[in-house]
Amino acid sequence: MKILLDTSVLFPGFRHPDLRRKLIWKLLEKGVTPVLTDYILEELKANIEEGYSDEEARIALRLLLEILQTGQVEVKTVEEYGPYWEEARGLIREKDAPILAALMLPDIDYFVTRDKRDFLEKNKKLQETEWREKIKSPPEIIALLEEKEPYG
Amino acid sequence: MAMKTVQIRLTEEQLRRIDEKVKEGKYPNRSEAIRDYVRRAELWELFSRFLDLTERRPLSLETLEQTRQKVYHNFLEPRLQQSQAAAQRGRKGSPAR
Repeated sequence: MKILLDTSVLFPGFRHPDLRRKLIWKLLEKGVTPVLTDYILEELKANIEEGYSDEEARIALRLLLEILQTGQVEVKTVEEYGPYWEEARGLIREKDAPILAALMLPDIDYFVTRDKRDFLEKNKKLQETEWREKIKSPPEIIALLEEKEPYG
Repeated sequence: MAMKTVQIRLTEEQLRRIDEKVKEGKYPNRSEAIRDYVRRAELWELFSRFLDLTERRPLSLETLEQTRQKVYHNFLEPRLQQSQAAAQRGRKGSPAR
């Protein structure tokens, strides 16, 4: 199983700050492949550089690089999700369209975001498509994976 | 990659669970199962350090939205246009059927 992670689930929110730890643990425990995109990586980098001190940013970026070097996190590029961009652009705000396009890739099972309300629940057009089933909040993914066998 | 042989001690319960996975065909043998557990533990360790480091500074959804907007215009939009132009050139250059 492959799950696309939104930037929002990798940074702590003001409510439920421990949710992201539970989420990542559950993904790894259940043998799920975490997926990012070049766009999400660029966003992660921008948020780290803007929100943290130089020293914290240096360490955080090095850790991100080490995470990628394990080869256990898959990264989708614009060349892969680009063909779905036009369809995605017709369903959602432009800046979110590259994420929706990546979610449309046939090997992506789910997309997990802290912002499901904005991404899906406020978007009637998207709610009427098959893609809605793939968009989950962290508690939903955790619950879904609870039912799955470890390393299944 | 060259492998080294080491002796490790596991509880009966741990070994039973590993053997079950091998029997189910999820791993070809015990070694591969243990290597997979180690790989995942390494990844968890790295993620854990990243989460610890970023713990003290929560980012609101509004902040994340603003950054996404900037990254879209500065990084992704030019790439998407390039990728689409390349696809179009490819279509024009491909022989007619």
